Amino acid sequence: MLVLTRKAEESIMISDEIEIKVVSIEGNQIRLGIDAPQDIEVHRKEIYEEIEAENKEAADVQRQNLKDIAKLVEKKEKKRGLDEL
Amino acid sequence: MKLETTRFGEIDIDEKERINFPQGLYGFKSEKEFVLLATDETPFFWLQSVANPELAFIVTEPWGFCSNYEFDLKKEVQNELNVTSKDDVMVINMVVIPDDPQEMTMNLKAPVIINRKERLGKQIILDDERYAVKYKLLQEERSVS
Repeated sequence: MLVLTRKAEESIMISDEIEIKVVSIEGNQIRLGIDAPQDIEVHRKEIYEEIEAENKEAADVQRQNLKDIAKLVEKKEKKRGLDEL
Repeated sequence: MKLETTRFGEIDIDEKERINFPQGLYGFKSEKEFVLLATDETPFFWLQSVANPELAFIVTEPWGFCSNYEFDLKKEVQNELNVTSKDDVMVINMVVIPDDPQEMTMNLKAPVIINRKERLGKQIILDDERYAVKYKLLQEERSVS
């Protein structure tokens, strides 16, 4: 990992298309501004990690579950139908 | 073509049913090809990996569970998926079934977008704070706020 030291208002360029600027520093919080082409996704790292973990959890499914869960959904639909009467 | 799967054995699918995911899925970057298998257990589908027989996801179209789910599809994503008409776009969400199936959830924050016509797919992350990674499917619907 490349480690650079920046002061407030200073920037880093990633290739010639992405700029990361230290907008302000307040205590132990740093506000970063990111200027990148629209086709490049920018998210907090925790979000990526959360989504990856969720996908992995989703992959961990065996076939037999599906029939039971479909029944649960059906039950909910029926109940909803009755509630609306 | 014949497709090997762990859950369904060897199945017969049409080449045209394959969907390309040039960037894979989050956490599964190298998985570039899937097929969407309909099930008897509506409204759920299986998103089955072509290369990896063991890898499959339960997915569902979200609106049966969250009727006011909506988002703008960024132009860049539309271009990536060669979208020319709204009708070609399918949205599905990954379903997680925990030990207690009553608690099953779908990921509204990271929907999977498929261009049915071009057979291209991509998972995206929505910035909208209203949409959770774990949205309970069996909850009473209240307006997402």
